[in-house]
Amino acid sequence: MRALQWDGIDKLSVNTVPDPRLINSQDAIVRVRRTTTCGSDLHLLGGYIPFMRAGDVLGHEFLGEVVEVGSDVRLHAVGDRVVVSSFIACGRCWFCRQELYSSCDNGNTNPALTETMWGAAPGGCFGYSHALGGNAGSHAEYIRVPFADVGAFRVPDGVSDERALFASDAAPTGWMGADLGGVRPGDVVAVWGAGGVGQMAARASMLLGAERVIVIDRFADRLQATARHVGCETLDYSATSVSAELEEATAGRGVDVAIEAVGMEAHGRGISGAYDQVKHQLRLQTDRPTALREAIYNTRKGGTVFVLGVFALAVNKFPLGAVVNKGLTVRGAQMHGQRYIPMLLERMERGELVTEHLATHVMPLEEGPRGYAMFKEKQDGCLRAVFTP
Amino acid sequence: MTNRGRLAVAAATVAIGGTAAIGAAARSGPGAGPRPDRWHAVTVNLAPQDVGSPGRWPQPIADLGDRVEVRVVPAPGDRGTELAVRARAGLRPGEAPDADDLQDRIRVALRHSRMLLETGEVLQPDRPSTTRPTVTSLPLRAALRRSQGGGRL
Ligand SMILES: NC(=O)c1ccc[n+]([C@@H]2O[C@H](COP(=O)([O-])OP(=O)(O)OC[C@H]3O[C@@H](n4cnc5c(N)ncnc54)[C@H](O)[C@@H]3O)[C@@H](O)[C@H]2O)c1
Ligand SMILES: [Zn+2]
Ligand SMILES: [Zn+2]
Repeated sequence: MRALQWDGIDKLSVNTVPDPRLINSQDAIVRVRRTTTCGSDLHLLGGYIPFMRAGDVLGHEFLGEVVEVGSDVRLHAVGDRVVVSSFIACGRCWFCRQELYSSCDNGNTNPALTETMWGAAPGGCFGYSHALGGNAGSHAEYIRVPFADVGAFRVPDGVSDERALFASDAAPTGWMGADLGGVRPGDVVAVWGAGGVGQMAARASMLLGAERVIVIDRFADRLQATARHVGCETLDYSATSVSAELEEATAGRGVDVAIEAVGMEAHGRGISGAYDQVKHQLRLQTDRPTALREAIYNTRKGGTVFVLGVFALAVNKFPLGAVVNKGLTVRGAQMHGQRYIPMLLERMERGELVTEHLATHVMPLEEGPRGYAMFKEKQDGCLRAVFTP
Repeated sequence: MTNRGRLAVAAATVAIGGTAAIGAAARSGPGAGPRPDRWHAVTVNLAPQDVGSPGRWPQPIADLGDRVEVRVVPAPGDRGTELAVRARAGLRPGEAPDADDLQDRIRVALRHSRMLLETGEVLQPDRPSTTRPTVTSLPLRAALRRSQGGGRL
């Protein structure tokens, strides 16, 4: 089959690789119909997560059709149209029972790497480096889905491929940020990052009853798409002071919930931006926390900062003083997709959650490298490049 | 290896070594390393009687035979059961030439036992793999050789 492979830092190519096959009895094989780029892939592409090997197949956010099931798969049959959680979870360990699916004890076949680095291993993820299991990704014609009964969800007939695709990762990630960030009716919520994840976090905050939701970015097309399709306020941080705007918008309180949907490659301005970029590239810090610092600064006393952006390990100049002295809750997680996907599919069916506008560039898999280049540079209004293997 | 290759391997080693070093700084407070008689343990989301008893250990642990001791105790709260294994006296680090190998086998057996008990099977990685060996991946490949035998357990 054809698949998009990582060949090294900023190098991708589409090649023929062996077809996947059933290995465990709870596996399914899915023929991929739609598979999308995600901001998380950019961290891999740029080499900021040093656990990739040449030839690894990228992609973790996808939808397709079941073509084969293992002998212990009960809920799925050949022909089912399914969307699959990007994180692989067993559904039966203590963490899965707490609905902390991305923390599954049994979903990652390479636990020692992250156990050493972080103290414990999260579950596995498709196409997300050997630290998260070394699983083949979805930018391919077929993919093996372990624990298919737990991680694959049948898509209601009324929901299009383009809409349901984002129930795989972006939508549950955003929903989790608002849900576990504790967004309540009356809250003012600020979201850093107007990518797919930030937009979904903003929409979730609105659906959970937030009074005002403000999305922050510097790309005009992304901010416009957010205003139009999500229906919330936006702020261009290159044109105005985020702190001053949020201060005014909340009459000095600060936001109740801040959601960081930018991640380890945040863009920074001025001297501190340059400082972070240089330290990052010299590997003196593994991550650049520009947006996270701003989020912490602008959260009200006793408020919550939820980190959706992916960070690998350590950041410099983390404002711990603000966390302690303002009594903040700082929380983060990889997405617990299995917890939210069925509910999100229902909301998609009811039209409450619209996502297809994220698929700004739909193209054949063979054009994967071009799609990533556009997505990385945010060219031509690219919110997400979606491939149709 | 070419100079460029050597440089690339060095860079990759620094990247992986650097992450390991920051991790190490986080986990090692002041004080000595682990005791040679420490238990390696996992928590299994089942009642103690479903985890095993002498003569009825999960297969991966049974396979270690009488080289190890096994301990099963209820975990606090609703957390299930603590399943712990350690090498028998005389086979522990510093006591036997293949002690490190046995420690790794214990960790693998614990991980596989938990998977078997909780999910009914041992999750296998994708194969055939699509990866190609490159010089820059040498440090990562070395780390991956102990991707189940190493770690913290
Ligand atoms: N936690 C999870 O499970 C999970 C799942 C998916 C994605 N993610 C992470 O979420 C993040 C966003 O993903 P995405 O797909 O939306 O990525 P994306 O690259 O499309 O969007 C990121 C946006 O952040 C903006 N940005 C950069 N610096 C900023 C700053 N200082 N202030 C405000 N905005 C800034 C960029 O302009 C861009 O629009 C990534 O880090 C990704 O890895 C996490
Ligand atoms: Zn993602
Ligand atoms: Zn689990």
